[in-house]
Amino acid sequence: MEKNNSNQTENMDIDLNNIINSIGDGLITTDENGKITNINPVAEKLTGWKKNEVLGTSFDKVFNVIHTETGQKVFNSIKEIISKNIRITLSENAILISKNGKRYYISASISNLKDDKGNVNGIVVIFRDVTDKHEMREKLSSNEKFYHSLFEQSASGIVVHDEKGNILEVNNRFCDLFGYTKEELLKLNVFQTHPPGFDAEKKGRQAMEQFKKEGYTRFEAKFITKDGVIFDGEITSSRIYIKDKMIGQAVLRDITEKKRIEEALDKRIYALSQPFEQKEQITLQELFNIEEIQRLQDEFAQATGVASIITNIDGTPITKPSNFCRLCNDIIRKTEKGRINCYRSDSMLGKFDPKGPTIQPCMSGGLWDAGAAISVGNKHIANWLIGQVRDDTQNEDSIREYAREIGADEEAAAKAFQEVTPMSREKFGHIAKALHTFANQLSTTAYQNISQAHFIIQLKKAEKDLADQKERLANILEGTNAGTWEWNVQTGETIFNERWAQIIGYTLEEISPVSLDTWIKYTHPDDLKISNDLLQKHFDNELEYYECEARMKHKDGHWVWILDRGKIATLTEDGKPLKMFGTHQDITERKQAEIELQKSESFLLNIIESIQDGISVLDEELNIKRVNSIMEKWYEASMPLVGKKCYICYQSSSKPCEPCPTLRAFKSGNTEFNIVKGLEGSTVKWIELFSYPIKDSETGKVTGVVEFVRDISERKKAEDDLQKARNYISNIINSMPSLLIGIDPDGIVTQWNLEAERVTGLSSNEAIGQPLEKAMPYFIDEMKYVKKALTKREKQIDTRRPRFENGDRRFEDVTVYPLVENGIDGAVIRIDDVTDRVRIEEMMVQSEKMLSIGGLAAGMAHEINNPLAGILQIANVLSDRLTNKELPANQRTAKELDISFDVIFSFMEKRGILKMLEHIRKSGKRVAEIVSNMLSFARKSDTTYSFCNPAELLDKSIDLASNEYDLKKKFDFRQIKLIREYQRNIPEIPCEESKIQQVFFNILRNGAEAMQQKKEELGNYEPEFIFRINLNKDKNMINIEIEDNGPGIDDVTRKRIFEPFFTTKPIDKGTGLGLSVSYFIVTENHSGEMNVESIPGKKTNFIIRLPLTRKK
Amino acid sequence: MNKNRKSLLILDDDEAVRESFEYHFEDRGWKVKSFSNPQEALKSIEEEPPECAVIDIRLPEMNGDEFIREIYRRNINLICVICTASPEYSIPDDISSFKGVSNKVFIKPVIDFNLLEEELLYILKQNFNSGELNE
Repeated sequence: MEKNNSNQTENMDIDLNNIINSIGDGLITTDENGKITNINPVAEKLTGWKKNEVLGTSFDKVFNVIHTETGQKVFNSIKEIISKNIRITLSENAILISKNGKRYYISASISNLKDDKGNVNGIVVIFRDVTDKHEMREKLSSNEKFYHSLFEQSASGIVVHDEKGNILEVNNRFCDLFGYTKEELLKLNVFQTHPPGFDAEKKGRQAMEQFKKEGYTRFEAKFITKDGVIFDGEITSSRIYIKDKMIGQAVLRDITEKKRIEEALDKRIYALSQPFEQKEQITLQELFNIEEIQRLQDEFAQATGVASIITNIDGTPITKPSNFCRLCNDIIRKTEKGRINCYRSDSMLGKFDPKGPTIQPCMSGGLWDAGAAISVGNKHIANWLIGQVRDDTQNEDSIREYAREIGADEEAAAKAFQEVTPMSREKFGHIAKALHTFANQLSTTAYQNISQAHFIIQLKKAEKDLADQKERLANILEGTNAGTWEWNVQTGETIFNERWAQIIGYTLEEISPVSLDTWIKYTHPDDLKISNDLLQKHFDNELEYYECEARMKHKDGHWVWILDRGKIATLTEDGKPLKMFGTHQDITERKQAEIELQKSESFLLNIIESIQDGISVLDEELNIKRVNSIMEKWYEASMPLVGKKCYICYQSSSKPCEPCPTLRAFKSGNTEFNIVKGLEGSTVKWIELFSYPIKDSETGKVTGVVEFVRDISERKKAEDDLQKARNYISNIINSMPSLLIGIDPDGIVTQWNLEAERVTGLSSNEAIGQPLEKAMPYFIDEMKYVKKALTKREKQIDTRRPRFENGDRRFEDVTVYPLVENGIDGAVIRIDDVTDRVRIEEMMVQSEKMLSIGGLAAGMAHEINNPLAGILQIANVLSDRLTNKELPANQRTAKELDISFDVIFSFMEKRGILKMLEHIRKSGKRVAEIVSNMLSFARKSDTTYSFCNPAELLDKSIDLASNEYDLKKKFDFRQIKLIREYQRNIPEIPCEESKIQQVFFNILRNGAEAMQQKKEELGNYEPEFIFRINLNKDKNMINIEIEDNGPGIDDVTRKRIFEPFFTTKPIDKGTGLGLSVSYFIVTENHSGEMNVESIPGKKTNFIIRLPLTRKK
Repeated sequence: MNKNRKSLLILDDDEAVRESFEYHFEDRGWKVKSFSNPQEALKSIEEEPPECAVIDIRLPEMNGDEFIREIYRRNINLICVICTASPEYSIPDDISSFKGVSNKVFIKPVIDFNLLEEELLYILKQNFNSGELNE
């Protein structure tokens, strides 16, 4: 498990390195001294330094960055950053100077690297080459300036607004129109430029909808200035894309003037259809040439023989009288009374009557008169009168009487009366009727004249308006920088403006003469085809406008994207399109942006497809909108996925799942996350699901969610395995015979296994969280190792640490392992009870000692034994020859020398020679015994084994011991109580009989001597031996115990009792080898075990275990 | 002294040891010849073979085992008891098969000479009974 973990970590490191090396950004890391520790390939490229050159060198040297504006170094020393623990962000305002002096505009982020404890141990710099971006921006900025100046200088008011009508930009003209400052307008909405209470705002909003839908709108409405002046304006708005955002550019034209003219025209047309009475006086003179009328009147009078005059409606003359009689002209009209009567009569005569002329006697002279009205429309403007004829109705007398009445000369009047043209009533009636017709015709003509005049005025005005409008439109077009074209669809004749040519890099002159072929020549064939199709649709009335995006060949050879728009303006009589007007707009930038967008979209799509995690896009109803191929692979069974509910496809569920991070993301607007089960039966058992909300950039509302799905079945399995392994390990830890205690860096217990519970009596619940010295007070001496392990991060070992448990001395090995890996801090303390091992080791040491003694003895025994034989054997002979009275040679030699052997013997005895010889023999014998015993330690390969009954062997040894002691009178063995506790049917064991007897004998002798000593000290004491023999089936051995109730042995003695030459006896009583030889015989020669247990003052028990089968 | 005196050859290169054996057995009526050199001992045996011999093992030029083999190779049926200072010594199988050679090895120092004498007499008696003695 541990191995696997380390592999995983390794893999992760490799992955991280790959990531670092493959990210598009430059990356440099340093240590706390600012020395570079890592640099990735991008950083190598930008700085111009190679990794092997820079590792260990100063960061300042490699990352040479200055401010774009000041030219100053961005920071003086990397140490500043490290010491201040700050984060620096440079956004395109910095220049990186590479090793070879190349300059890159960069954006960079510099932040500190921290270790686990939060100490700064270096920095990491991530930077990006933004040179291209920067240059693009510079270029854009100059373009923008150009457009801005155009914008500002336009004669029309221009306002830039967003989809909601918020004003984003206005030009000066627009401000002037409204009397606002630019700042004030920027806070307003376009709808607020309309006066309240009109339906202007409503119009504006409708137009906005159309604009959003179609990208173009034109409407007229009322506008209101800051001062409250309402004026008429016309808005032409078209769509522009800036950074994928649709905004409107609207041109406002003040159409007050146009409006006024239109209103005036309307008034006249209305006026013409109404009776003239309501209008100011129109005179005949204004309508006709009076001279012409006079001639017409004179000729009529002459032809018919009647007098004639045209008067105003009050009877005052307009024309001069023609063919007037002397009576009326020279006599009656010369008098005051007569003239007034004449006028009154004339006005009466001219009374308007469409049915026919008025014929009646003159109210002045009484001659016959007739009249007809002249009118324009229903307006009576003049009277045409004829008359001054007589018939039977008038006589001389009535004339004389009237002359007297008006005070005129009676005789002259009578005479003049005779000169008056006589005419029949019938004839006069005909003439009057002709007059009526004539006057009516004149009226009609007058009306037509007036209408004509009005029409002409109207036409003139309209023409002027049109010219104005055209000029304004041209201004607008100029302002919007559009090329224009006019096309006679029938003749193919075309007119382009200068800009049309300019868009494709020519002057108009260069491409003149122009025709439809000019368009065909420069336009991309593919686009031309589309254009023709669209035109046809427009011609067929399927499209209201013709609109087409097309590529045109620029003079420089590249393609220019234009937006071609137009509309039929006039039709032929038979309804075919005649004239069409349109514009060209250079949309190359927008188009390129679109193409870039498409590219980046397909790039993104590639990324999405290449990601080995599943990606699924959902809408608010949890419908799947889009998935990548990984999802299709994983959920093949649910295909097709798009359009279905996510829970149906991914979970085979009829309702949304619980828990669902996507639902939460919709609610919270944040990225949400869950680990959820995969589809039943799928290879994807467990998935990690991230739900990223997609927000509307305007409203912030979550409109959808991107689900990022990762197959973590493997990981989950690994985690489960890990959990199992953890349980397993925990079981192991708990079943271990060692105490295992985990602590954190502060010495607080974090782990406490069963053995620790057993030894301390503290449950793990009680122990965990306690300081170690509190949980385990006896451990306080060891704390220094724990601290050392934590600080030095090295394993600390304290071996054979003594501890007393119930008065028993135990040994423990304490090991403190610092936990330095896997981010866990602290230590594990392991405590092993090694008492048994320590004891075994002690015994092994003894065995080794014995073996070395044996080896030594074997090597030198011969060399000691030879001279010892010389000493001892000579001493024997000496003793024999000096003391043995029986020896014939002694007697014989004494006799030869005449000395009694008795005398010699007495001499020897008196001089202590015998005793001394005995000493030599005794000492020599002890040496021989030591050598012989030492030799017992030598391993012998050829010892002979026989099967013996251990009980019989023990009994024999007891007999032998009692004889020996009886003999020497040192101790009366018979006074010792012997208790035998032999198990029945003890099997025979393979052994070297004499050696085992020697072992028993040694123990018996030691025990007897010890008990004798005790008896001497206590007096009242009953010594006893207990012999036990039983079978130890577990060990496949025979247990033989020899227990005495002697003085016992203390701990120190007990531990050393089997050591060679260790003895508690007086120097002359024992060689100190007896028990060690015994131990050697049992453990080495017979592969058995030998222990001694004792309670001082009470008893000693020797335990011998001999194997049932012989071991090689 | 008389013809019944039993003869014994001591072969040991340690003078004190050799003398101790010589004096002890002489005192007890044995006819003793002692040698420190095996070749000289062989020569003496060729001339006048003794009944018994006490042989040391570590000897100059020729060790005790070889010496005994040489004697038996020459068909001399000598009663031999090996007496050596090497406690680890054990009699080679070929030698222990010789009838006159005692299987008991005496390790020097020999504390009780009587045991040695008893062994010599015991083997002598056995060989005499079986009638294989040189006499």
